[in-house]
Amino acid sequence: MLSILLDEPGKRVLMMGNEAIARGAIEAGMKFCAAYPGSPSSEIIGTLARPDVAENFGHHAEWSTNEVVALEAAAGASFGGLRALCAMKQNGINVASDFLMSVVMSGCKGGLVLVVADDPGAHCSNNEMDSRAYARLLDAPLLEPATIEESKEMTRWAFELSEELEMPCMIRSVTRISHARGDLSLGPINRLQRTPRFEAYDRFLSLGTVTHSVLHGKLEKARDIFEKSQFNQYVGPSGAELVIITCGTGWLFSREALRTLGLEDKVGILKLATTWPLPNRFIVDHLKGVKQVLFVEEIDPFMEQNVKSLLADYIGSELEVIKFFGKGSGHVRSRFGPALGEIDPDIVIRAVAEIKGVDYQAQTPEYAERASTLLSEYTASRDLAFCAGCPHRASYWVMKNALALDGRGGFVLGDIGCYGMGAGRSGYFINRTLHCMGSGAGVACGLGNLAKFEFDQPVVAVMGDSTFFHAALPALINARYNGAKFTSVVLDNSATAMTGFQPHPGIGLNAMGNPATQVLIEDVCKGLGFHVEIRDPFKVDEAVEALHDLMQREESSVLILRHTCGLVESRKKKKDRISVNAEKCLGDECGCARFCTRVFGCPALIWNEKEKHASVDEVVCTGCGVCAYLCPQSAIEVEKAEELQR
Amino acid sequence: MNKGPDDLQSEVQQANLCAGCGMCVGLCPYIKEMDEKVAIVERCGRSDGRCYRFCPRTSTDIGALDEMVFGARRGDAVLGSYRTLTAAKAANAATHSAGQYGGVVSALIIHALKKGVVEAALLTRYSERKQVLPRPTVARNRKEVLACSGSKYTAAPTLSALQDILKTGEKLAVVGRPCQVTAIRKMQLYDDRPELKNIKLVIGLFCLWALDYRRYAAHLSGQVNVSRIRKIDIPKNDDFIVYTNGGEARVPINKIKEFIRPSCQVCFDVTAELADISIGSTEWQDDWNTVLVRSEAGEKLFADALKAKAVTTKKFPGEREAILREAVGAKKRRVLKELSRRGSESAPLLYLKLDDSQRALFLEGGNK
Ligand SMILES: Cc1cc2nc3c(=O)[nH]c(=O)nc-3n(C[C@H](O)[C@H](O)[C@H](O)COP(=O)(O)OP(=O)(O)OC[C@H]3O[C@@H](n4cnc5c(N)ncnc54)[C@H](O)[C@@H]3O)c2cc1C
Ligand code: SF4
Ligand code: SF4
Repeated sequence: MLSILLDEPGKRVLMMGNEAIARGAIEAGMKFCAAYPGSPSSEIIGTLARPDVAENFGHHAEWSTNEVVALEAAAGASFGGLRALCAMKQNGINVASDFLMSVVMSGCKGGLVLVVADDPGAHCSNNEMDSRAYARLLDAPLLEPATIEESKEMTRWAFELSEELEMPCMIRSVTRISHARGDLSLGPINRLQRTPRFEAYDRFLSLGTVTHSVLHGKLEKARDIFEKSQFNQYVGPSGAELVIITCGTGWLFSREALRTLGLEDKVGILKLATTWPLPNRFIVDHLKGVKQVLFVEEIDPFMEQNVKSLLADYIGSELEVIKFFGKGSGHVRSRFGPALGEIDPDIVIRAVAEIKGVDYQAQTPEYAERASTLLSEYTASRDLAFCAGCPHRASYWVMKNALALDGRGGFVLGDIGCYGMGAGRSGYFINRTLHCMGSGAGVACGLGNLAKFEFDQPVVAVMGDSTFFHAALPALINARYNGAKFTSVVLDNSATAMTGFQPHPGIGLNAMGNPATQVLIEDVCKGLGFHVEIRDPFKVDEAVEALHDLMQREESSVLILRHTCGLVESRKKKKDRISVNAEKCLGDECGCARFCTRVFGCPALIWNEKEKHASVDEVVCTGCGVCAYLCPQSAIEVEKAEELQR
Repeated sequence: MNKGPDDLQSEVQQANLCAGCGMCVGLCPYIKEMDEKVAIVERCGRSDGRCYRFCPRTSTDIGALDEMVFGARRGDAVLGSYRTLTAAKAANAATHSAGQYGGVVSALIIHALKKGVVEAALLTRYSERKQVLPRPTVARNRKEVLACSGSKYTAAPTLSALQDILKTGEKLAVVGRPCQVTAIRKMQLYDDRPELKNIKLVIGLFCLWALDYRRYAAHLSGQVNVSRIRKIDIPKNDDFIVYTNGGEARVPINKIKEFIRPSCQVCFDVTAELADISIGSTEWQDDWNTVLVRSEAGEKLFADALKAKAVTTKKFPGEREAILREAVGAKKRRVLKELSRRGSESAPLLYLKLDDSQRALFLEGGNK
């Protein structure tokens, strides 16, 4: 049985960070959870929305259309009195921030917990940002778990805290916690049976300075609670000259660093789990007599700067003069520099070694080189690219062709997610902007409305199907209303693919896999008054012509390029076998000069350098067959799955 | 030294010199055409390409082409090499009435198919999908030939379908505008693929200009129901008349001339000088054609068609010949002037390659 389902308090189990957060919510009796998927946060609601989990604990789980709606929905449940959870990745909090700014003022009733999973190093994001700055901006309590076990414990605690303070509480996770695995002890499950009710006296109003002052009072109350929290702790000798102040992943990295350097009995570690508001007294009390402080944390020097400004009031009175090290001093820096990229134990080791004057090389350059040559034998070298069989590769080829054939210098305004790849080789470098969800259409409202300044280049705005619902709609309505002229291309692969194939409103299934009302993109667009065309991007010529023709229209229009995500499709059906007829493939001699591998670039197509022809990697190939359609020599052949079975 | 697709793109396509003949499109998977706009979608990386070599708007050596087609350089700078100049029309009434003027083009193709001189003909007909958009079509019988009759006044990229049909091995006739005839002849001059021998007959149309499809179609669709067009004509260079099943529309010729492709303004060939047979209007009798029989193959086919009573002819009046020569000569002189204005030291007449004596002959409008 899935360990999250177990009702065996005290049992040690292995869990992924995001599962631990989900379990913490379950142990707290959470009854409503909502999110918009986004790595590294997706598995939180992904786990809670599993039919077995949702049924067993009786909560509602949903993929909302975007983060602000998710947060508003969760707040609604809280206003009714239930405990509610909302999860998102770092970009999401930007989307949710408007509501967030006021819900902290209005307060809430049932415990309301917002988990934001940051992505230091931007492994799965197009931006690197530290969401903790919001906690300060919001005057909201912020918790930073340091281990998998703490992820669960602090999530559970966050609900109590939220109810005690009558305001939402924010938890910050990071990729290396959300996606790491660790063991933890299961706790009892709170079988809280509340009947939600919006009482006659319930008011949740954000009313300017009045509620702002109430908020400040709550923040002071939070600080008092944090002073006593056992999640904040000090380990190490008393009277240490150097103390590392850390939070989140920095906790285990710092311990590893001290152990490696043999400095555990010389250097102390002050671990903060409540990083806003800071537990002032707790920090000052642990820095008596300390001469050096090293700050270790992910991304921005958030804690570093807040603690420094706190200590300014104490140095020279309760505290001695302290020399500070961290991102500000440049001691804590990734290969990109301080406050950039991820931290790791090596970074902490190097910082401590530099401060303490210890001669230690975490990793010799020769070692790094040996490791990479060794590894390269096991991993194929590949571009950042659309997957094999991905309909977007064909869609981008369609756009490239249509733009060239239109010939008026048209260009593509991009979207993030898989579509971000449209800015690279996989999308033939045709995305010319890359910002956030829906911004392609929004930016097109500007560039598409410059005709009176004699701007005559056609504008194409790309959006994913999930983006369409998430953020593109207001821009599309704006285009209609304000007369911006552009062609929207909705790349509809019937999945929120990059974040893990979550369903969305266009699919007809909800988060728990049950049938749901299907909101068709074409119906919405037609309702808005757009001329809409739908094509299969694998029927390349038809799609090119459709896009080209739409670009000639006087009014804005929408092209839906619809084909199921290659990975989803290949899971469902037996695949056709695609192979290259080596006799027919002319390779470099062909006018195409290796179209399939040099230009089209599906990862399943390989150039056989020795025999000078292309071939297909059968393991990677999904059998989509679009390369066979496109090969000018018809050298790529398709054997249908049905025929193969016979 | 020959050049490649990057040069084709910069010197021809982006310089607005593309005639829309379609030759390069059929040669390469990266060169595509949509609504008569030709574009290179991706770079193939070659510095020596057939696309560049066969294009009628890259260096075109008239002397060498004349020698290949006719075995000699021309003496007639206005009409090019020819054997006979006559007026003709299709003998068959249905063919005659389906044709643009005398229906001679259609009649000759039908005759060549019937006699097995060719097995297929690469022609041009309106697309079923898009209004007034001509597309390449292969005709193999009378019915299919007649479905293509009538002039489409835009730069149909007929030759984009040429390479595919050559691969079938069928004996082939091609009907095209002068730019297209030039492209075919350049291919024959520079390429030795055996399948080029399949081209048995090249019939050229007289042509002073073709229109830019996009602007022309947009204008027309505001005027008439273009889905019901029967015929388009410019009788005696007056109005441009579009006859539809539901009435006709007249567009002043000067309005129509705004839509002329820029490439046509620098086109020096009016009468398809490199064709086996060239056919145009007569400008004095609507249902007759002007026919210039040029090559040996052309002469043989035309004589055979006459004998088989596929076409009838009459004498081309001397005063009409003078008018024809004056019209053609005028355009040539204008174009040569424009070409030398735009030419450079390495390419004095842009795409046209003439030696000094030829050039003098052209400028004088010399005659044989
Ligand atoms: C763009 C254009 C401009 C012309 N300008 C002149 C001119 O200024 N003076 C003059 O005397 N004659 C001109 N002609 C030629 C004339 O219109 C007739 O095509 C010619 O006289 C043959 O008449 P027909 O009755 O034999 O034609 P038909 O028997 O009707 O046969 C016409 C043939 O032309 C082909 N065709 C039609 N449109 C095109 C096209 N756009 N590109 C290539 N092939 C095509 C068809 O395949 C068809 O087989 C022009 C033709 C075109 C296409
Ligand atoms: S004129 Fe013909 S060959 Fe030259 S670029 Fe245009 S279509 Fe290609
Ligand atoms: S005028 Fe010349 S370039 Fe233009 S369509 Fe006629 S033959 Fe071609």
